[in-house]
Amino acid sequence: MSDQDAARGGSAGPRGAYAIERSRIDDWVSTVLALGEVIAPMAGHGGDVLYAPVETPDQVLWEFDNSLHPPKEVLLPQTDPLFEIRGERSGWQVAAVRPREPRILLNARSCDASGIRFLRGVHEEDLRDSAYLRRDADLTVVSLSCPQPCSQGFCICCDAGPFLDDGFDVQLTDLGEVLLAEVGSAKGEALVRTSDGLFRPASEQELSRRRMLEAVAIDSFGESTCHFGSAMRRISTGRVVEALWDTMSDWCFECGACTLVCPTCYCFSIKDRQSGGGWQRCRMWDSCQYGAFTLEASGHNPRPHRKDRVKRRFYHKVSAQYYLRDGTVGCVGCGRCVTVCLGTTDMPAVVTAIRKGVWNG
Amino acid sequence: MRTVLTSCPFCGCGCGLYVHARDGIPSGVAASQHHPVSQGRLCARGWSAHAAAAWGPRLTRPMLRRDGELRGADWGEALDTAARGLARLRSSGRSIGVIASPRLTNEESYLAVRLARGALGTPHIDAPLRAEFALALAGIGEVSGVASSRGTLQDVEASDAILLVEGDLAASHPRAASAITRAVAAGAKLVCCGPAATQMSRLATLSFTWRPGAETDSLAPLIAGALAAGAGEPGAGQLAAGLDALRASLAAIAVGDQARAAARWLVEAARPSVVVAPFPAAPAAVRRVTVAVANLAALCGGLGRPGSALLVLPTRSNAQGSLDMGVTPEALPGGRPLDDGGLRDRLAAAWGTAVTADRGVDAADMVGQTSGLVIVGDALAGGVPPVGPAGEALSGSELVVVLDAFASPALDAADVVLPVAAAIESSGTVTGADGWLRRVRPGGDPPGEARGAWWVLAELGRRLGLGGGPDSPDQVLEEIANVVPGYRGVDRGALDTGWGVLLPAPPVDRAALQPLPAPASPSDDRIVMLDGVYDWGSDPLVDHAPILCRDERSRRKLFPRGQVAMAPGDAEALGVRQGWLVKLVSNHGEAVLPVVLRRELAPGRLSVPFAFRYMLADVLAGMPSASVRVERV
Repeated sequence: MSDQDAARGGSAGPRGAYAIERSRIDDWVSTVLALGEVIAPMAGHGGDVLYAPVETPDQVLWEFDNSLHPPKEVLLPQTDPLFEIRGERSGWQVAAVRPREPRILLNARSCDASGIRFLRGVHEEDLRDSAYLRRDADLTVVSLSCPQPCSQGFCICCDAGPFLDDGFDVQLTDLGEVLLAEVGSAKGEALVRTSDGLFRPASEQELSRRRMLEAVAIDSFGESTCHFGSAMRRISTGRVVEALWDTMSDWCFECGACTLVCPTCYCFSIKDRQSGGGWQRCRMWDSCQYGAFTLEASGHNPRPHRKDRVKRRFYHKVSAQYYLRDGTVGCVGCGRCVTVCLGTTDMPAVVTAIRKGVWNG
Repeated sequence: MRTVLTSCPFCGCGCGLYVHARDGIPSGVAASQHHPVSQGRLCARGWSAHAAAAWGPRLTRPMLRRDGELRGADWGEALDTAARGLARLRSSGRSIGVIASPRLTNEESYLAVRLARGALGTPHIDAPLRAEFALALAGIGEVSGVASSRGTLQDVEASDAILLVEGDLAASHPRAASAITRAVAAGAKLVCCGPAATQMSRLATLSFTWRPGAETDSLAPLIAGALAAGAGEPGAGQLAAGLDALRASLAAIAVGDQARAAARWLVEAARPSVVVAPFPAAPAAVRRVTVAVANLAALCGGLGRPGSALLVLPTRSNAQGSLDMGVTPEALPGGRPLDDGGLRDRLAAAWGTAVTADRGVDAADMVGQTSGLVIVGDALAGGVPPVGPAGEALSGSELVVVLDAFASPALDAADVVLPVAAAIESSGTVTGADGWLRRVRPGGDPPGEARGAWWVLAELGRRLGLGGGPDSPDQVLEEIANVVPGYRGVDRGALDTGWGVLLPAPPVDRAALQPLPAPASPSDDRIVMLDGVYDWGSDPLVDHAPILCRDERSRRKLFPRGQVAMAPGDAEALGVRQGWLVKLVSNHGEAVLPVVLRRELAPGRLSVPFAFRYMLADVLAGMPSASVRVERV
């Protein structure tokens, strides 16, 4: 059992599998709503999907294309108040800002559940980020497996979907009349157990149907793949032509969106915001793609040119050094960077360029 | 947490985004995957659209200047003081100007016009950057008969040949750059024209760099090439008037191989598109360029052909809507001429007062020259006054009323300060360059006592004798839909159920080709030019956004004495190296700046970032470029 799994109160891998009738799913969501804040995919404007707190079970989407905005926002908001600083008669008082109640992330796609697992590892590494980890410990992740790959997704290349073996508290799979609920942690167990009467142990037939759906999903991946292995070999053995970064960086517009929506990115800046009579110390999303992100106080910038920053992104996400540290590439194959990129320097495109040594726009 | 869909407040692309607010304070942005403009793609500015409102120095209560100091006041007192002062100026026949930010909603812009031409009886109403945008559109109108853009960024993205005329599109309009980049990646031919090499010109199939002052000379070979490739011949699509005169004006133009190839791509394309982004040029040149570009679009069949766009991108988000609402000294709402008596009567009936139909002065001329000045929104961030501290420039006015969300240098001269909602907290509509009317929804609550600018403008109007109301931005839109040409009968329901409403554009029946000016005589002058038309770094929405302001601020910090870029060969010839000082001497004056080397600059061209324009003010004397002598210091 790893530290991180222990922190979640359970062993790696499914602890048990249950089934719930589809007709009872709203009853279950009602039960979960009573336990804390439920964040689930909801319909936005004109076909958009957004993860947001729901108030009633009927707001929850069960069949949807994944939200362009990652649910990592639940743990790592774009503006993230960490603590309040107030002047009192007795001196300065510092108080942590915490979510008011336990939270449940419902229907996270496999890639996003994997992203949350990745971020947990990062925040446990070296200096433990207690603010993040406390919030993570207060969150129960209910993932929803993906019977069909999404159009830009390549989770299959990152071991982050379409179905998960671990890294979730509960993994739901839609079997038609029933939903299969695989429990991955004590927190997950609690979520299923508090709903007495709604769940029953899953049958062998249901488990075999889940395996069949997974096999079909895996077979359904088309062109959207990303061969990290050979790219990582080239990066880690210094076999990427330098001129490639020059060429590719002209196809990047420094929007930073690839990093902002990436389920595994966590770069931030800190700033104090005046609020009432004191301050609120906030962590804010930042991006290694922004020019002054690495600007040092001396005026020196180790990554002054766009090509340096584009290169840095891939040398982080797809290098053996970080693979050894994190146990995975810094990508869960959600394909969001393909959609949000103002240019064309998304993960699959750049990985292909690194492998082939040429850039085709 | 609250999440609303709204329109991006930065440039004129018209992207849609969701804004999150925690406790009423904007806290983040999410891209909208299905928004027809942005399609999930936002630039760095869009991703920080929430930030200035949350982090900027907000004005939270009305203020009045008493004994030389701005002091808090209540709304009634502040509005009464402003209205009394303005009424006094009006009754004593003194001039009053209204400068309205092109970031205001249509409703706010309309109310600003109602305040100026109605309540204050003054024709001096303008927005910064309006003149250049209006000139660019006027050039299009000269050829097509309709002074407006056509088509959308989606059309551009699906085009197979694109002509881009730009200063630096990747910096000014990243989302438009994205549309073009995707088209290029899909195989489209891109032809770039502008004063300098840019990121887009590096992606282009062919690019042409013009000499400032001789802009159309780089477009003339393309037009001549298009004619040579058979465009304009009977049977080659739209027949246009003026063909012979155009041909005659191009008789002496030599068409090189590159121009011939580029022209052929545009002529043979099934869906040719033209995108015009802001470029630094003298006002008359802006118009000459868009006339030339519209000629080319007409010859290629790109005017009015479905799927072919001709887009003029304004620098700021609602420049199009602001112009449509009549924020201009030279036209009535809807772009109608000032002598349109029918429209004036309709406006007068709606406003309950006569409508002034004189021609007013431009924003730049209002500053310091009008006795009273009403500044609505972040109008002074758009280059008014062009150089120098705003407070000083405004001090010539007797009464300065400022409606703003943020503390700004204008407060130094303000007599009345009325705190309003930031753009991201506003309600109403905006109009994109693509002619789409879209909703702006409040992504947060204005802090303290700040109110929507529409309410403040309505209250000022009421106190200056206009009738009651409006009571909401929707009521203003209802009035707009009744009286503003082009907005008549807008389906307000569709604004909420869909992504917006496409405003009807008059058809282009028959283009009137315009002859091109004679080529400029060759010149070996060294020319120094500004590299843009707008300083995003001093835009409050950038400057107050913690992540976004960093690049701009650090550049200023790194170059405290400014910089002038030149080609390495020029530096070599002068005997200067990176960081050394050079003196630039024009007919108007001189300036000393340190050199940075830029390989992409053509020999003899020097470029100074727009943000450092004030360091070059004496050399340029108000123009975007000047011939100079360069000396090593």
